Formats: sequence, structure tokens, C-alpha cells
Amino acid sequence: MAAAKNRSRIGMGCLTAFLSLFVIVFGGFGGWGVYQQFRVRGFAPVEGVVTHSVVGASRGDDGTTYYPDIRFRYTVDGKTYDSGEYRIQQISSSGRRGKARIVRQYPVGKKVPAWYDPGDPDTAVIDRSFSFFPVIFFAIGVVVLGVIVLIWVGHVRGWTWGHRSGGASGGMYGTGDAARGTEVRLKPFGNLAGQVHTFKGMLFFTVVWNGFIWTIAAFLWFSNEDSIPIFAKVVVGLFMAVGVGLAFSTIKMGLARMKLEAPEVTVSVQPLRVGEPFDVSFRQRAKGPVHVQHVTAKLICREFATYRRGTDTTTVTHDVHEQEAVVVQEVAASSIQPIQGSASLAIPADGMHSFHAARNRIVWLLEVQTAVDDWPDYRTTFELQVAPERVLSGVAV
Amino acid sequence: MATPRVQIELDAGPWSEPEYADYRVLGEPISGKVLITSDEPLTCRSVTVTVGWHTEGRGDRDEHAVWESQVHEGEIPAGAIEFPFRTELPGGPMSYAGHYVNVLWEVTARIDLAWKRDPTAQRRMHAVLP
Repeated sequence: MAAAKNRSRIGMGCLTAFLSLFVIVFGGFGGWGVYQQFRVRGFAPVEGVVTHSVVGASRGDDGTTYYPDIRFRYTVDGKTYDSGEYRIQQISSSGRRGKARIVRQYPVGKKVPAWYDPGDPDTAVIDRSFSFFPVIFFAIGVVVLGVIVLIWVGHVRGWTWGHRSGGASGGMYGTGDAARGTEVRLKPFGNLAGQVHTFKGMLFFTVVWNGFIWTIAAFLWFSNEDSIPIFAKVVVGLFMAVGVGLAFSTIKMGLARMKLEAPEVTVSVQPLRVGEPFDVSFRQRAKGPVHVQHVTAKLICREFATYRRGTDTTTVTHDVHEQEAVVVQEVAASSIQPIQGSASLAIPADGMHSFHAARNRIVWLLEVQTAVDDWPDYRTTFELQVAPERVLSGVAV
Repeated sequence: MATPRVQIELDAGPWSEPEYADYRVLGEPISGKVLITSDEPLTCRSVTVTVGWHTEGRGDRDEHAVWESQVHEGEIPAGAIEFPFRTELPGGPMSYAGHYVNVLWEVTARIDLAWKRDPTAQRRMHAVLP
């Protein structure tokens, strides 16, 4: 047990070290770039004369990248400097044509408006417009840092991540070779093909999404840059709206967990068979006195289909069967008086068994919802295993 | 050279009604024959029969061959010739027609011809639970 704990800690340490590299590289590079872009905001105007203007090339393993190699001469307090550059942080990238266009705008001998650093007159630039490259790099660093924090918080609090399913597995294609058990306690359904079903999964996704988009939005706001196209602002606005929606849903899920503990759900038998009726037993502790309006158990057969278009992978879902039963109604509960009840459901006789292929899945789910007065509902989803065996006349064969 | 004709015939299933002619029961034997008709002898490497399922629908295709067998090796004489096959279906998955996901069972026969496009034949069937 202690050895397993040590192995877990070593694994966490390795993961943290690996992710920290991303934080240092992306956060450092992006952060420095962002700092430099804000620094040029304080530069003073000066007139310069272009002394050198060519397309510079950097040759690397991945090919050649280009940058506008422009220098200019300017005078500050009677002293002449030749150290003027096009931008404060020159980023070399593919696409020679765009850089050639910039170079054509600044021929040698042309007088250009420029900006110099009053604290360090040796530094001057022609272009001080805001670039999003460093912001995106910085946002990636911030998100990875958030992920590290979340992983450690989860580790300390004993969270588990990823897909878990209750009872014995029905096999990859539901071949029905798993041993049947009675009174099987179900575990919450985790994530499947990008579909988030748990509070922790939702929290993780919300932190990553909002960390990324709000970092970009903050720089967009503080940059006061007029050259940012309205389209970019609208797109960022839409992504922010999604982030707010995600945060709202996560807060609702979190609030629901403030008054109620995680429910314990058991099924009378698992794996189930096609056409088989079964009982669901429910028990949930409250953290204080609450009035429960109702607890419902919904049996869902959900199809998951994953497809690739170009570089995007998309998963769509469709519920082909739903059956709902009321577990309890209008009861009072407290920390010493848990909510308890049971309901009867059945896998339909013309239904499909559980099917798990790489890109196509048919999953039987049990969605349990506890509704209390003036408070968000507590929802938990569990996976049921349905074997490819049939029950005739409601009697297990 | 005319392309040889390939057909798959399945032996009768457990149901005699014509609408259930293509229905087979999971976990039970399945048998049939591959019929090849050719006007001239075929320089053939092998004749392979595959029984398997695949998905169709919104998602990318998943497929799995549950049984594959070479029912013949070597030249095939001119005329009509048949090669029987027999296997047992596994316990699942059953055939399914859903909204985004469909699971389809199929018997496929392929003649591996030297330096030519391989003629194939498919025969769909419904795999149902016992």
C-alpha cells in the first residue's frame, strides 16, 4: 500500500516535471513577449530614416522561415543611433511574400515615424502593433499551470480521473462473457469520447477552457489595439460566452454537492440481459436538513458516434431509448436520515446490448437526479452493462 | 477474359419463413457455399471466405472479422464450381439499426487472382440473439 502510494507520488512528480517544461517554455516565451509589447506602449515618438531593408531568412531543420530585416537611423538629444528595428520582438515565420510586402513599404532612405525607449534610447521600433502570438503562447502556459494545480488538488483530495464503469465489463463488443453479480453497486460514469459526465471532469474542462480564453480576452482588452479585426473580437466573445456557460453549469453542479453527498446506487443484477427487468436501490446522505421534492432514475440507451473530418475529431450522441421511474417523492432528509428508495426498470426486449467499438458505441446509462427545494438538482450518471443475451418472458435464462 | 461470377449461398437458417431467410442466431453454426462460374480456367492463388461485422452510420467505420478461411488454393477449372464453408458465430454483437450507429453482419468471398482485380461477393445477414 505504502509502495503504491510512493509510486503514485513519483508518477505525479514526473508528470508535474513534464508539464512544468511546457509552463516554462510557453509561459516564459509568451510572458516575455507580452511584457515587451506592453513596454513599447511607453515609447516616445521619433523620426527615423531606413538604412537597411531586406527579407531576412533563418534556415532550420523544419525549413526556412523569414522576417523583415529592417533597420533605421534616428536621433535623440543630439545623439544618432543606428539600432532601430522593425519590431521589439521579431518572430520569424514561414511565408516570404508577407515579409516582402512589409520590406517594400520601407525602402532604404525613406523617412518613417518610429518610437524609442526614453529609458534606453538604443532601443527603437517602427511597428508597435499588438501581436497575438505571444499571448497564445502565454495562455497555453497559464492553462498548463492550471492543469498542474488541479491535478495536485485532485491528488491530495483523492480524486480519480477518467472513465469508470460499474460492475463487470460486458466485453469489447458485449460478448456476454462477464460473470453476473447481484446487488452490484454502480460507480459514476466518467468521460467517453469527449463527453464529460462528472463534476471533476466538468471542473477540469471549465478551468482549461476559461484559463485559455480569458487570458486572450484580457490582453485583447488591455492592449487597446485598434488594428484587431472585429471578427476576431466576435469570435473571442463567443468563446467567452461558452466559458461563462460552462462556469455556470460547473457552479450549479458544485452547489448541488454542497447540500448532498454522492449517491449510492445498486442494481439487482449486472450485467443485465436484453429484455430483463431490474431494480435500482438508491441511498443518498444530506449534509444538513433538506426537503427532497423527488428522486428520479432514468434509463437511457445512448449511441456515441465518433468521426474525423480533416484534423477535427467529433463525437455525436443520440438517445434511442429513455425510461424514467420515480424513486422517492416529497421526503425530508438530513445527515442522519438519508434519502432512500427503489425503482423498477427494464431493458426493452427489442433493445441493443452494450457495444463498445473504437469509434461507435452503444451505452446503457442510468441517470439519477435528486431535486431539493430552491437548490440546483444533483445529477449523477452511471453506466450499466447489458450482455448480448436475451431474457424470455421477463425471466432470466 | 471475362470476369468470373462469384456468389454466396447460405444454408437454411432456423426459420423457414422467407422474410427470415437471412436471419442467423449468434453462438450457432452458420454454413453455406461460394459459387464461382467462369468461362475459362482461372489462375487463382486462393478463395477466401470471411464472416464479420462492421458499423455504418455517422461515425467512422469499425470492423471486425470473426472468422476467415481459405476454402480453396490453386487454379480453378472453367465452368461452375462450389466451395462449402462452415463456422460458428460468436456471442455478439447482434445486428443493430440505430440513429447514428448501425451494426451489420456480412459474409464475404474473395478470389485472389494473380495480377488482376480480385472478384468479390458479399452476403448480408441479420445476427440475432438466441
